[in-house]
Amino acid sequence: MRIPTRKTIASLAALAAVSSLVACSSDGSGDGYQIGVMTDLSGPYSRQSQTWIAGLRSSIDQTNKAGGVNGRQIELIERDNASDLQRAITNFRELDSADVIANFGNNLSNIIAAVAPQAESTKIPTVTLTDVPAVMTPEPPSYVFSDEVPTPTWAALQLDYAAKLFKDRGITNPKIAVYTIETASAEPYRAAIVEGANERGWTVVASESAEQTATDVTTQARSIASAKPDAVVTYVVNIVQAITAFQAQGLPRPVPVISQKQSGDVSNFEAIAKMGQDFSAMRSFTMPYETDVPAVKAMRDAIEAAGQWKDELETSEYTTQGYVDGLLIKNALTVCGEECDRDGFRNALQDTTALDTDGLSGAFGQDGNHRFVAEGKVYRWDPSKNLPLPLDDTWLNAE
Amino acid sequence: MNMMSLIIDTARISAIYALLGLAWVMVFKASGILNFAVGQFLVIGVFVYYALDQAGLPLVVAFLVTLVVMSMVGAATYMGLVKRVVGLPIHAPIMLTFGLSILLDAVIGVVWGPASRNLTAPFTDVRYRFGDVASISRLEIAVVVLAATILAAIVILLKFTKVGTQMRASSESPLLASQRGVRINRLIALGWAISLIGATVGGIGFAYTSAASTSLVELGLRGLAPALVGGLDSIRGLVAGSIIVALSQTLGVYFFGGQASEVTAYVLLICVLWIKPTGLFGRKSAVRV
Repeated sequence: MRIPTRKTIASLAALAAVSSLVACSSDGSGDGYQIGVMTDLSGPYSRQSQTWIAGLRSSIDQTNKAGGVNGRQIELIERDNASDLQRAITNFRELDSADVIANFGNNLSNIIAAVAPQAESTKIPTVTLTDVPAVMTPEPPSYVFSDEVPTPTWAALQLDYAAKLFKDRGITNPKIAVYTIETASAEPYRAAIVEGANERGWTVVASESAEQTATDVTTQARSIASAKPDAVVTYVVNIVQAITAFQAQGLPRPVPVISQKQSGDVSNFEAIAKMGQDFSAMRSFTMPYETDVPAVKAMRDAIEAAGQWKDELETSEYTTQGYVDGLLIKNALTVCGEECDRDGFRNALQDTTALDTDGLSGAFGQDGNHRFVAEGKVYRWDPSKNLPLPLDDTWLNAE
Repeated sequence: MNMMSLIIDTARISAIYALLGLAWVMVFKASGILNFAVGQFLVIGVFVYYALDQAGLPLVVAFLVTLVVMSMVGAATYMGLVKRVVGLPIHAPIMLTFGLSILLDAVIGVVWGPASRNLTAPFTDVRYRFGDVASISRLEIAVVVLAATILAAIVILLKFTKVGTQMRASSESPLLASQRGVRINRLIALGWAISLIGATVGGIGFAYTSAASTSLVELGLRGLAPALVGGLDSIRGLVAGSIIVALSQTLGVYFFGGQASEVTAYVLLICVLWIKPTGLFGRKSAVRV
């Protein structure tokens, strides 16, 4: 084995020093509003975070170019969690030391669960892209907010859409099946489906779940297919595998499979369209390829102007979510005032009961339970456009 | 529970497990180490097959070319990387293959991304039904037959050929075998090549029931349970371990729901290792020093 020379060691040390300086250069210098951003810029879940942060940066860049807020620029202080819990906790402490007045992030549920107590103790208002039932219910912490549709609300939206389908198809005593992954959110989801189905007088003929890992799901699929449901509502990530198994076990292709947001990836839609299954999925933000929505075009222009555009932004709703988060930051700072601090920002978020996103999302406003989003749209595959598109312009509201 | 369904599901799942387990057993038999990058190699194999299919090659040709490519990757991985750590303290090969798995994860993410892809069916799939509940498709039968054929070929190779005899000899005593002129490194490279063939066929077989995606990485570790239950150095044990793990998984899901699918396999593994640490058919002398 070669023993490193002094020169090599010195070079590595110099490289490390330069790297640390580069890393520090993203910290704010003090004149602007400093907003912390903690997300997975690397690691297995970085794809959606990368598109989210591109939208956020573009939105903030647009605001800064227009003169900032209250005459001050907004500075994003970014930290990479890399899906690592310990790293996220360290990042949060660093953001606290950097005196950020708020923290935004697209984070895994376990990270939010770990960071929530810190948000309370440091009083850093923290907005997450995930709705974590363990954190948000029964009452959310004072300083944690969510800008994603809560899991039970997704269940209600799916049932609303199923009701419409049953009505159109003349099904009077519907039978539904529910299929989920095993996560902390799955239990309240299943409970919401069963409760909602009971309220409507429907029968839940099968309820199955599967591990999140790659595993054989034939037994579950057989249970669902043999129950002969009129619709299957799902909360899974690997929807292609689920539908493959459903079809193999005899689920007829016209039986609608209604998925919530998780499995609404464009590539999933495309694969399922080839399989011929009646499939629809929900979304809570408008897709960047829906350029007939005027605000989408404005958003795309802003992203181009910020030099953030890349192809993968086109098919990610997280792009839009990041952009809307930028609008939320701008609005909260405007309300909070020139000398905005953490409590002021938190109160401003609390008071944001209606933010006009101009069609980039449904109604967007804090609902009293620290949640900003409660509406979704149904998307189906459009073979003429080769894209999933919304059924209509209506944002479904479970209320 | 329907008995026919139980038999069919166990056969289907155990075929996949046997192929995945083969990936662990062959590397262990050949080089005495555990390859923690099996899942990543499996995904690469599946995506190579997908790419060749998309390039317009007939599926049979794409399949065979994939196996050749992956066996070369396996042999090259050993000769170029792993060879240096064989025989070193246990942490060295473990960390090497673990590090390799992380590196390959990154490569897979960059090259193929997270999107799922559907494999082209090799023939019109027909599902044969037995009563109201039990059924098996032609494709699933093909995977079971392929797994059985590959395992039988490995047994024949090991028991009835000169190369197989040399492999067994080098596995039992590398020093003595090398003193008798056996080219140990070539044999170990062959073991790695066969290992990646097993992983690739298992991955493709599973992808046909789901989709080709990076989440198939997790399948790699699934092969370790049947290999350990049966005994890491035994093909016969691998077959028995695969059937036992598949049966326990099927029963677990049936009686306790989807969350039990992994739990039952690992509870079984713990029980077997507690009673017989070398696995049901493993040899005590298999542990290398």
